[in-house]
Amino acid sequence: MTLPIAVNTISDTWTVPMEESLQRLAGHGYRHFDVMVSPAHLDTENLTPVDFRRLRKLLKDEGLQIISLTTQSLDHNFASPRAEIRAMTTGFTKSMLNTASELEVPGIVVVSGRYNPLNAPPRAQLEGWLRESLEAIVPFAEKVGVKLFLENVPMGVLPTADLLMQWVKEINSPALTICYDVSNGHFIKEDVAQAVRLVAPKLDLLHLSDTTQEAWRHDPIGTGTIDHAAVAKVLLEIGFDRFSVIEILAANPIPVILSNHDILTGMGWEKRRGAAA
Amino acid sequence: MAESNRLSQGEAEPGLYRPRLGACTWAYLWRQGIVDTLRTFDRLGLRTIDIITVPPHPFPSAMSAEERSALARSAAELQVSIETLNVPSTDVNLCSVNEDTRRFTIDQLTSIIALASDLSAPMITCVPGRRLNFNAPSIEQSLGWLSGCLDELIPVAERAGVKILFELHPMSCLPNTSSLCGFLDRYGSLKLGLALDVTNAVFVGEDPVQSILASGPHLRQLHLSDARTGQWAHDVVGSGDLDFGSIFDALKTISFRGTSIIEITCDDPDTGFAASRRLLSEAGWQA
Repeated sequence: MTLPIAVNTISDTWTVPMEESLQRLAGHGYRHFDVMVSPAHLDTENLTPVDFRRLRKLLKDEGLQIISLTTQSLDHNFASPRAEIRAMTTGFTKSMLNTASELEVPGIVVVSGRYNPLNAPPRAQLEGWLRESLEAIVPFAEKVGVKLFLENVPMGVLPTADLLMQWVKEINSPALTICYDVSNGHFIKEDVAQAVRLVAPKLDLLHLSDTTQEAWRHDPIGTGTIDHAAVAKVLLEIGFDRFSVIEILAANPIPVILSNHDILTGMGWEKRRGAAA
Repeated sequence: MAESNRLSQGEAEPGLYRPRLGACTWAYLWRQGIVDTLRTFDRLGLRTIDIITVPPHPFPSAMSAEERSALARSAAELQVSIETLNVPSTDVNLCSVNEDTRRFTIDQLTSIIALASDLSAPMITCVPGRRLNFNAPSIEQSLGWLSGCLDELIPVAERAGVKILFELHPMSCLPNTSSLCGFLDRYGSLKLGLALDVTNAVFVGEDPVQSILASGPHLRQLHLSDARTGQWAHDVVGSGDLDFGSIFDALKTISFRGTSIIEITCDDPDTGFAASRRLLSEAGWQA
């Protein structure tokens, strides 16, 4: 087997509308996308029925599929001590779920809240707020038939593969699974290959980029210190048939995505369309 | 109101510069209630207070008019002065890409300004918005969103007689003294000022002495804590690498008349504040 590849639109988040991004990437053979949510790219809070019809038609006509929606983790917080912030976060997440439902996207990526590391609330309180938020949003996700892919982030309440797995197993909903980001994991010094093996039973999405452990980045593969080949080996062993997403930041993303894809192909991921045999 | 902030107890003795010390409630946020915290500071001789506005400490939506009056009474009885209400950066964002988040932040800060007015606090402190360390929008866009929020907030602050201090913070859209003071110069409102946090300044690579000297007329409050070189921390004064004697000299050079707030986090804040106060008093500050 080879491992399926999708592409994230992160480099276009603030400057290029989603439709333009997808059409450009489709021109290079890509059909599956993890789309960033932002006012300039895909504004899930302000889409109208007309917008949804237009986007559905584009996806159908071009034979494209959005496999997930992802948002930056800066402005929302499932684990805030302030009830208003938790409510705002839940509301925003519902807008993403509704958008995903309209566009037949199987899941959205969410993170486990944030806190100030210099003076963290007691762990029990932090987890209580996170649990309260998840208990509000998971039933809604079940209702609209869209999954929540809970992602590891360094500043999250659940930054490690082990914690993600504990929570997802305990909540035990078909609408709550895991997105593992190898750069986020490597930055906090996880063995990312072992982490992938650990979360395998609940893993629905994998984010691929590169970073060092000194500076948190989402750089092109090969410029950091992640052993992507070791990750591929585990994915092949467990028979991972979901999407691995190239999620890299670059000023001119297309050539970097193509060259990164070729690097990944040599490790076990599928060949890109149009690539030389 | 900010002019009262300029009264230094050191002025009672001509020629002797003794900048005022105060304390931030942050270290007690998860340990004890606000009135007990004010009592603790009173006991420690620190009577100019910066209150962190996060539940269970004072937070606008969680406080009735009676509770606000009761807190103001408690402060008066203890003879402590609430100088600033401090809005942590974690959950609000004045330069968010999301209009809803900016609206939410404006509403939050408006309610904090009202609470400050109820508690007779002359100032609030906040961070001028946060940006991702990677994949951020352009700085021009971020500052445009920040200015748009201020256009709404400054009239609110003017009506309430409350000043807004921007804190130097590593994750903000204005993360160093020059960018922050440059923005304050350009925006040009008398209701805006600077709260300079020395460990945040060191963490972004600045010499806090130079930060103070460069702050000029914008500096309204100084936040004091300690940190080891290269670490982002708010440790007990004396436990890190900062040179507080040089910081004192810089304050004296610019004749700073505002409050230096001890803003530390540690496992034993009673001991930490007492140690910080002792060391700073020896260096020339006065509680």
